[in-house]
Amino acid sequence: MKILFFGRLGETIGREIEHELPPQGCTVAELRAALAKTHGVLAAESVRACIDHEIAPETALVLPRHEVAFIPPLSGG
Amino acid sequence: MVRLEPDELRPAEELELFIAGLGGEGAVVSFVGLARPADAAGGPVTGLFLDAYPGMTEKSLAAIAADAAARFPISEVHIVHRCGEVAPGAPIVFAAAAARHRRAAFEAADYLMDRLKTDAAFWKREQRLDGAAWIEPSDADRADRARWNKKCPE
Repeated sequence: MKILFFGRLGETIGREIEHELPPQGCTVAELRAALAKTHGVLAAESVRACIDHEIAPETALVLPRHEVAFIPPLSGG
Repeated sequence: MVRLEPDELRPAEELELFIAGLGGEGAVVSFVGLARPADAAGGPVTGLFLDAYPGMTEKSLAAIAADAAARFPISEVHIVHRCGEVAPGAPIVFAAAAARHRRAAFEAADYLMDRLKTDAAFWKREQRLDGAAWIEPSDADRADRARWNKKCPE
C-alpha cells in the first residue's frame, strides 16, 4: 500500500512510499516501527499517523484498504 | 463554503461571491491574511510554501467553519485558504461570516482566524536568506485560540 508524508516528512522521505502491509493489517505502532527502520524520523512522538484523513491513535488497526499518512505537528494556516 | 486555493486568491472576488449568495442578513465581516515578508525574528522571508494534505486539509477547514456556525448566531461562513507557493505580501487566507446582526459576524470572523492559525491542516515552510525552515504555531497563536475555550469569553 501507499504511505503518504506531508510537511518536512514529505521533504525528507518523499510524498509517498510503497509498503507491504500484512493482509490482516497491523496497528499504527507496528507500522510506525516497521517504517522507522528505514526512516528513523518517523519514530518521533510528535509525528502522528492519519487513517482516512483522521489522526489515529497508536493502537488503531491499519488495513490495506485505508489511506495512511504520517504528519508532523500542524503549522496552522 | 470552504475552498483550498492552489492559485491566486482574490479577496474582492471572494467577498462579492459571498455576498451574492446571501439573503436577508444584515452584516458581513471578512478578514484577509497576507503572507508576511518577515519571520518571527524580523528576518526577511522571500517566499512561503504551504503544504496541504488533499482531503484532510479541506476537512479541517470545514470542521472550523462548522464549529463557528454552532457557536455564533451566524448564517454563512466562507473560507478560502491558499496552498502551494505564496509570495510575500500576497493574500493567503480569506475568512468571512454573515449574520443578521454585526456582533455575531465580528466575533465569528475573529474565532475563525484564531482556529485557522492553529487547527488548519497545513505545514508551512519559510524561505529565508539562510535557508528554508518549517514552522509551527507560536505561543501567541495558541493563546489566541485558548481564549475561546472559556465558557464566557467576556
